Amino acid sequence: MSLEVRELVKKYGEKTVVDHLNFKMDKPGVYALLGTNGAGKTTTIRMILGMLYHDSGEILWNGGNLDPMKLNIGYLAEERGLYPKYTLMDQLLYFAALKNVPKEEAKKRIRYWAERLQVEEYLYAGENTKKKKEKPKTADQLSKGNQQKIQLMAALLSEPELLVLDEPLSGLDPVNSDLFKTIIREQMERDVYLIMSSHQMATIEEFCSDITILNRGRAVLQGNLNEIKKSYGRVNMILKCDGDIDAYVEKHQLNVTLKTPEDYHIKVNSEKEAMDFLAELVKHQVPVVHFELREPSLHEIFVEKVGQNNE
Amino acid sequence: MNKKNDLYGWEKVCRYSVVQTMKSRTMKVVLAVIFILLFFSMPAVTLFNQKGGKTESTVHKVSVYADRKALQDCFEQKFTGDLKKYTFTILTGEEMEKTLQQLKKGSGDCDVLVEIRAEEQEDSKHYGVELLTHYNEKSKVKKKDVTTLAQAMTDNLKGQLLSVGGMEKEELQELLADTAYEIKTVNANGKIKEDQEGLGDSSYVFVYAYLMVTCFAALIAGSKVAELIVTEKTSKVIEYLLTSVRPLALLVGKVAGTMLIVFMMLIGAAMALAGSMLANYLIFDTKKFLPEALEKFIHGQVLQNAGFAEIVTAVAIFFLGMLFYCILAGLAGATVSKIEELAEGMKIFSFILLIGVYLALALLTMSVSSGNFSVFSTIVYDCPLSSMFIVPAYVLIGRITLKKAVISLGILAAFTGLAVYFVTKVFEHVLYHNGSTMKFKEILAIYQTKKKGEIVK
Repeated sequence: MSLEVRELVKKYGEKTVVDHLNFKMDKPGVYALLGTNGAGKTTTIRMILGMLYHDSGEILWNGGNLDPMKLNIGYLAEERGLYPKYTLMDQLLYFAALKNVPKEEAKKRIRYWAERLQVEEYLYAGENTKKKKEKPKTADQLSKGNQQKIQLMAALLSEPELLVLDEPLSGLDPVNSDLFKTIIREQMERDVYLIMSSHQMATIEEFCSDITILNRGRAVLQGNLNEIKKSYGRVNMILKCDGDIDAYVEKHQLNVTLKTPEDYHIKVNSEKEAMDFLAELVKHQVPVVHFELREPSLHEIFVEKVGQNNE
Repeated sequence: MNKKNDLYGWEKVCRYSVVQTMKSRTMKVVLAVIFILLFFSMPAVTLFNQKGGKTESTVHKVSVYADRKALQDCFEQKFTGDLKKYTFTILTGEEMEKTLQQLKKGSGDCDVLVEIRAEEQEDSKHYGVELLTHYNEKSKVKKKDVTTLAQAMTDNLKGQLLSVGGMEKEELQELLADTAYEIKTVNANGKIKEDQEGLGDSSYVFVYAYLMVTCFAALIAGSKVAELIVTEKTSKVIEYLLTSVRPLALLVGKVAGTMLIVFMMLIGAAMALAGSMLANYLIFDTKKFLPEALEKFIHGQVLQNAGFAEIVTAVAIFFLGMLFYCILAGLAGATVSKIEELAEGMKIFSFILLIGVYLALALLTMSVSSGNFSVFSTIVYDCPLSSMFIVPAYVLIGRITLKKAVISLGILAAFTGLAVYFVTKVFEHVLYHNGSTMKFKEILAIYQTKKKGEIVK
């Protein structure tokens, strides 16, 4: 199976919000769509899900046009949505029915996910407690985080082949954030095709093998995350020494990105430049406590790419 | 997965809409209030009537003077019906003058003096009967009781006069009953124009009640469809739903669900009314299904012309009309993004509904008097906005022919088909719209763009 987006274009009037976008997932995994606000991530997702018309291009599943009605898709929208006044159980059963999940099976799955996401008390209010007359909870009685859990349940109930998570961790506390991450990992093990959009670069680095960085509707960087990082080289030097090294830094005209009482974060142009600097320090018997060379983080790549294009 | 067309899942949407609407507390309260009011309506009317009737009249002793022997004969020993509760004394001219003086002074035991005078008109052979009532306003006698007495005597006198003329009871009943008649006008070219008779009381009440109920049903159903759609847009549930069903299935499911709710409400209301009539029959000694006060206005004879074909046609027009309005309401609901803006989005729908209702109401008002309103009638019968509000009732009471009703049905079906076609073309785009309320010209622009095939899916 494969998911492929070819030359996708979306315009609102004269404004092009997605401009000839291409990407491909030829095996299960997590694909990241990154970008600033208004870069075109959600628009792209909505086009993949068939919610928005595209002006040109193709969205293919297994080489044929992707029909969202025929493919089992799970979707956690950026703009969370539940019926505010209907009970949570009714809503989940309805969503499952629309995905053709039989009622009894849906009940089992709801029970499973309710336990996993620790929301039984809202779905089964009054059950196994003395408060037998307690009414089932409605969505407007839940906190934002718990509503998000219910929505994740809705997205997972049909055991989808393609899972689309738009900003899945936004607004979650660290505990629930970890819970969501665990579930995302489980889905990865299930060989799901997962598209994730997020502003949290650390999360993307944690899960995604391939990325597309969008800026103003255009892909400014695409590919395998590890390869992208390798292409930048190990240009981040972290140095901790006993003693002042400012004079050496000045002599080598190095770019210090962060200076703390503990260490220096220095951006170098190449590994050789870092090694030369280390040799200089050793030669002058400056005690080096810690020396580290590493690749740029996704955050740095993102800022660089998007910043360049916005200048 | 077996999802093949744009309507896939509509029945699930329909079921969910019905169940959730019926579960809502507001709906439960509204239904309970309506059914309780309807169930107790008939016994309550009878009870109020009886209470009103039990109030003892302040008029007991009535003196009658007639200036003609024949008129006097009509009353002597012939007091029937409601008049039996009074004690009558027939007076001569002198006695009448004396009684009148006593009344003025407040003496004597007569409560009311009734003076009956034959009123001859100088220039014709016709004459009328004048009935004058005298009573002392300072006495215990109340005006309303005097009016009741005068009305009863007038009714009695009418019958007595005709029976004096040698009429049989059956002939009298026929003469005094509502009469059907036709008026034909011949113009200068010899062309005959047929005037329709005015609607009788019971027919008018039936058509008026139908119009009000239909207006209520269309308004409730339309508002509900729009509310359901805009709720999904406001709460953003729509984003999730659209990964499972197409927009058209959402619309169809909601329209079908809402119409089902309205039909259930109407059937429930009818059952509550039937229960109320049964209760009226069982509770009171009168053993009547309807309170006497309503008998004049409601009786089954108005529907005596309704055959199977008429009933089917009437139901079909009602059904199509509801569908027509619900689809328009669905589109109106999709034009807004927030529930607070719903009233603004529903402006056009409300305006269209009002046009239809007012057209029907105008025709009904005109129909009370006899006359020829053929052009206006044809417009109202054939206009898809108004036909639903009047044609079914008219065909059931025999006011219009089945042929005319079928023509109305055909036109309404054609317009409903056009509405469905138009909405099918634009609904998807309108539903995805997020922002300020869409104007009609914007919807038209979408339709034209779609028609040209400029939008790629």
